[in-house]
Amino acid sequence: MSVAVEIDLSSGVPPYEQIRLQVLAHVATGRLVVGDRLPTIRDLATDLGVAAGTVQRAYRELEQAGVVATRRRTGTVVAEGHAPRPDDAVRAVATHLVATARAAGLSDEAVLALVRGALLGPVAEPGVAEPAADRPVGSA
Amino acid sequence: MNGLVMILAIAGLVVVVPLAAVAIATLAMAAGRPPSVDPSQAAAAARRHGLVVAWVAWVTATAVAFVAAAAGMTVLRGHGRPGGLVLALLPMTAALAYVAVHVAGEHSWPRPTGTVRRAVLAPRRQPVARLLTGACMLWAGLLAALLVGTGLTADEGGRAITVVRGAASNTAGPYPGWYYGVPLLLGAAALVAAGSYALRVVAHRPAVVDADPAYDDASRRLSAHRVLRGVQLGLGLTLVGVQWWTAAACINVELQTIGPVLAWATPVVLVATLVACVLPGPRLPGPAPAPAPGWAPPPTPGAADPRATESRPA
Repeated sequence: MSVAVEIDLSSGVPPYEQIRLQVLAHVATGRLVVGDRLPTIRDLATDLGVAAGTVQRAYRELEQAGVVATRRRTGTVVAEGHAPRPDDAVRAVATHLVATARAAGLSDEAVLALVRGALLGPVAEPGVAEPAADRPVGSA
Repeated sequence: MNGLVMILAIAGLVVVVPLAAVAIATLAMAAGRPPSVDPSQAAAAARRHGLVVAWVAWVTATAVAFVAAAAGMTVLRGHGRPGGLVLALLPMTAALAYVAVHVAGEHSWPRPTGTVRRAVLAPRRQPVARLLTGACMLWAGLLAALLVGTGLTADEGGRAITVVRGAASNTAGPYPGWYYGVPLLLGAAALVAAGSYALRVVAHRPAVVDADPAYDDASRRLSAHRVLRGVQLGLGLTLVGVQWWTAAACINVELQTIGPVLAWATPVVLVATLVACVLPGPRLPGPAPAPAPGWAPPPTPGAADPRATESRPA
């Protein structure tokens, strides 16, 4: 199964940040596992048609975060990293969310907005549904 | 003037016609297969670029061979010895020109355009063309061994072989020896180095956007096949020439084993070289089925979100 990154040069997000976030996402979802080799900076920059410095910055920030490691002989590989890996149940929920949202006709941006909204909201117990939206103003 | 016309006519007959026939046969073998449907516009542009480069490489090689043949025969007629060297180097000179065109073509490979760009997160592998790589190594090895052998066994002049039997001696030439051997060894080394460099450029050129990785991989293998086809043709035809002249000299000095062996091996190598040259390269796959969810890249973040930066690990 091939893993890819896709950048949008017209997006407001810098290309290096798009690359960094997508590599992080692939590692978080298990599509890239520890030991997987990434393309060289030059090859990835050539394929995306961006400057080598753009890819270099993305790789450097990923390396500083411990997500990847660069070695002279093996190149850049996915490292252990220090952020805890989501377990299978969480990954399954995320996959189900995406499939459900897309089946409902939501765009990927709308799905991301939903997730961000959930992150901004109060912490809920697992399995406890959030009360209806028409709650009194000022309640927790 | 008449002499020049005759030289050009001979050069055309001996070099241009066979080379053009090989080129046409090669491209006809490829065209004879049903065309595959290009999976995307970028893939179609890349395929057309590759085809144009292949045609220009053949035309350039034929033109260089013709000029080298005419120059060699002119020098041979006027000054003798150096003309033979020019003719001996002709196949490798034409092959170097062929590879040079492919290198230029790979450096000018279509680059990604548009605002949305995609790339596979996997390291590049050197494209493999096993049969042609094996042929190149075999011809280069045999050529080097034969040239070193003739260099060590040539007489003091370096262009003839002398066999002494009792009081009598037998001399025959032309014989490769070091006079031809050193330039031919250098030419072979240059051709192999140029071919290796061309394969590196093929491996690291931009990927074909909007096509799945299998298509891009096949495209690189096809380019590698085209490059190696020319390299093995140059090495193989040079080996044929060296074998032939060595066999003739050995037979003339009555070396009863090696002469006939080389003489019989010459057409075998020639046929093998030509067959390897016209073999069609790997076929480019048609449109892939819709990618599985696992292949699709994660969505690109849209507008800048301050919280997005807070998600970055410390």
